[in-house]
Amino acid sequence: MSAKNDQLRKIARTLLAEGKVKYFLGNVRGADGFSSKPTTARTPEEANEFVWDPSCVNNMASYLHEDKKRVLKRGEEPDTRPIGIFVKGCDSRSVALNIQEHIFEREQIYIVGATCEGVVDVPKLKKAWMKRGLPVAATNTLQLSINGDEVIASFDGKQEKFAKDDVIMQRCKVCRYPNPVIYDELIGEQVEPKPDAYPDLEEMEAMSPAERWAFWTEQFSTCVRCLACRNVCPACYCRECSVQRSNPAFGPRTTPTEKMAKAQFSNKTPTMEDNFNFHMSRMYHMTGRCTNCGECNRVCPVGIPLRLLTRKMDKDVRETYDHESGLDTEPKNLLAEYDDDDPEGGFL
Amino acid sequence: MTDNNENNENFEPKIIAFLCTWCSYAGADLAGSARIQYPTNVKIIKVMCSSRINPLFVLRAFRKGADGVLVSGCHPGDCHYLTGNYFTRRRLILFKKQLEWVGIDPNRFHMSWVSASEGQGWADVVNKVIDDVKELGPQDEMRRKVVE
Amino acid sequence: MTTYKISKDKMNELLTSIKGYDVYVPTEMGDKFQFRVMKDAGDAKLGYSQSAKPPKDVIFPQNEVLMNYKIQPNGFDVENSLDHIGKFVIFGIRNCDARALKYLDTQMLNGKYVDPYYAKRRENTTVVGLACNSPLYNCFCRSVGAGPHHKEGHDVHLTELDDGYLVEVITDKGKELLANSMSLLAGSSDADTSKQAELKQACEAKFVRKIDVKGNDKRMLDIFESDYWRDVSDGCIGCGICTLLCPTCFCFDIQDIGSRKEGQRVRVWDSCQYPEYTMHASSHNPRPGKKERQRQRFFHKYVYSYKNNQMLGCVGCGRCINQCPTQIDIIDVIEGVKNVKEGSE
Repeated sequence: MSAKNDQLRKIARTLLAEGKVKYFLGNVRGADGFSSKPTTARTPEEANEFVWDPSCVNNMASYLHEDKKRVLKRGEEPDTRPIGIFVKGCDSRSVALNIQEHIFEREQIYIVGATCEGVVDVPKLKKAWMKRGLPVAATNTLQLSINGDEVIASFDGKQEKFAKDDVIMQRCKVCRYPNPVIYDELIGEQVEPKPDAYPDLEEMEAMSPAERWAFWTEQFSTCVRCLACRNVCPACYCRECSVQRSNPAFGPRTTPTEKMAKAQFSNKTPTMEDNFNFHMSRMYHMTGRCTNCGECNRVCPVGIPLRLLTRKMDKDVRETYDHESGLDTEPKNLLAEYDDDDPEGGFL
Repeated sequence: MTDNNENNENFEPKIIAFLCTWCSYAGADLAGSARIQYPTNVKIIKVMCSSRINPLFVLRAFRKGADGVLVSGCHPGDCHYLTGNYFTRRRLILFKKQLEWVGIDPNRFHMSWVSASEGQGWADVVNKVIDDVKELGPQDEMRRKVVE
Repeated sequence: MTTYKISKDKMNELLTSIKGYDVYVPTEMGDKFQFRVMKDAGDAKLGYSQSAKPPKDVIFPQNEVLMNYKIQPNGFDVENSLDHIGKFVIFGIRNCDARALKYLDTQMLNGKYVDPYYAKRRENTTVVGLACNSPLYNCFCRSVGAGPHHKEGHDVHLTELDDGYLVEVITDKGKELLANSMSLLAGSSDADTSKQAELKQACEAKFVRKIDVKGNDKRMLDIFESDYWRDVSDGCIGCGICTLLCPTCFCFDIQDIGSRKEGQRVRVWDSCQYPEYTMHASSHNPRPGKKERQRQRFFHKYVYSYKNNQMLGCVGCGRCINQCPTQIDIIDVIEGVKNVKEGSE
């Protein structure tokens, strides 16, 4: 457990001290003791805070885009050194996707990969913690690790065991890529992937269309459009988003070209219909690109099961076109390619 | 924001059809010049190629109150721009599955290939789409309602 | 102020007896709580901890239609939605959220420019507060000048006792609300009042986290340009959770939605965490990065609000900490200001 921490810290420290990377993206312990907090280390000392344990839920790949979006100050020379990043198995696919889509070149990212047995769902762990009446203040020294079917939390020299299935993220239960697909350095032993199945979709698949519609209507109507699902997504990197435009006043003299350039696909008003529009747009934009890291589902403040959408999409894409994004660095994009023999289903 | 209050029996659906200018639109044109009769519920929007059609256009049509949407382009292999409709095919097949997943009836959204010589084919497609949508009744799910 | 008592099994009857109002109650939704219009008294979960979204959206809806218009051949046909505002009850609001309404008043009802929509809704709303007996881990209302049993901004105040609720009717509005249900209320004894004080003390002892705001505003201004703000916002993904779920945030945007014939003007919440919020027409953005945007949030809550209204813009509900996907912790940030080395001449 702490050996993994040390390994990560040592790698990051060395990279920063030698000036091989401009900064390093990783997790530190959050203030509540349970969770981890994404951060950027710019000096070797900051790298000493890094942790790698089952609380590292964050997908650091989404922070790569900051670098592209930053506007240089006048006269500032761009730093061409690579960015150091810590990734788990699922995150490494997101990095690979960014390389596939030429957002970054392979040399621009220094990837420190870690094999992962799953990460904990912090709210669930907190609940279990409170239920057992464990001291809250003890979390300052909390250390988490996974051993077989148990999540072990050690604090103050004591140990507390939780069943892995109870406190682990839903997404980790069906994870097929626990080992990084690309990396420069690797931490940990290879982990056995979970079987290729979609048990999480079965319930929804059994529903009738009307039931599904009722389900999604209720879910979408609670959306507050905080856009966390979009912002956290490692595949969303546009400078200007098609669903978030300031409302341009169209007058009688607005030309069609102007209207086209500023087409408004989704209103800012979070009514059920507009939310539906937003989520469908988001889902469609992720088609064949989503790497199934499940972050959108985690960040949603009102608990919309967005992963039901992305998982279904993943299933469709794999069944129909046998395509999976972010497995290597070869340029590849489902919707920008075609095959003469693609299936014809559904055309009149 | 529409005046679609008819009851189901004499319900006249509003269908938005996105047609590529080289095949499907020409096909619709041919249907006209050959005096093939087909219902007038279809409002045609001509685009240069079926691959111009962003699935968000479809969502927008539904949000603005369309009862059904039809997208039509050249047969695979016949695209004026050689490969455009291959992209369309991938996009729309997946998009349709996504609509089904959230509970939209697949008959609301249709895709078809109609070539410039298929005047009768176009009329058949339109009849089929209108029959399907008529069966479903007015689309009220995705239409943006005036709040409160 | 008059004090009554009501037994727990009569609570549902009390809720049903409220007529002529839209009653917003905390309801369960998934594993979270939301304030929604009560359809059935059984939906009300008064034992809730905290609602995911603050009930400020009853008075200041996220999606408020200001007017509907139709374009006629001879001019405009405008329907002002101000005429259709009904009456509301927020039942079971926590002290933090009720105090936030007070803060919103200073913004929307202050001075020359009174917001008519807000004013009307505020006037039509009766606030029934519910004392908090078990604060969450990240609650810190005691540190920002309130407490779990504060009655500020309440029309009626409820305290959950072992065998019932203590009902304190504070304002005339509260009296009017309960006028129909007086038969359900019984008188209270001194034992109940002392029990209430006991609960208050017990609850206050449960608070884990606190924040010391004294002198922080000056210190924060000192280090305005510090790299400290870059470091605290490193993990920010730029979503609007902290602001949209904040009970005191009040920024909004006006949207015109419609066609050539008809349409509506809608007011929607906006958030200072989006780049579009400060984007100029020239495409210059004075708050270009997440550092500047997060800094603005902390400064607005802890410096500017205090300067303008002598009231902190934070009520200590802890929602931004609980819900932040990347663990940005306002308590840590404000406390951390003291340890920043630079800027202190």
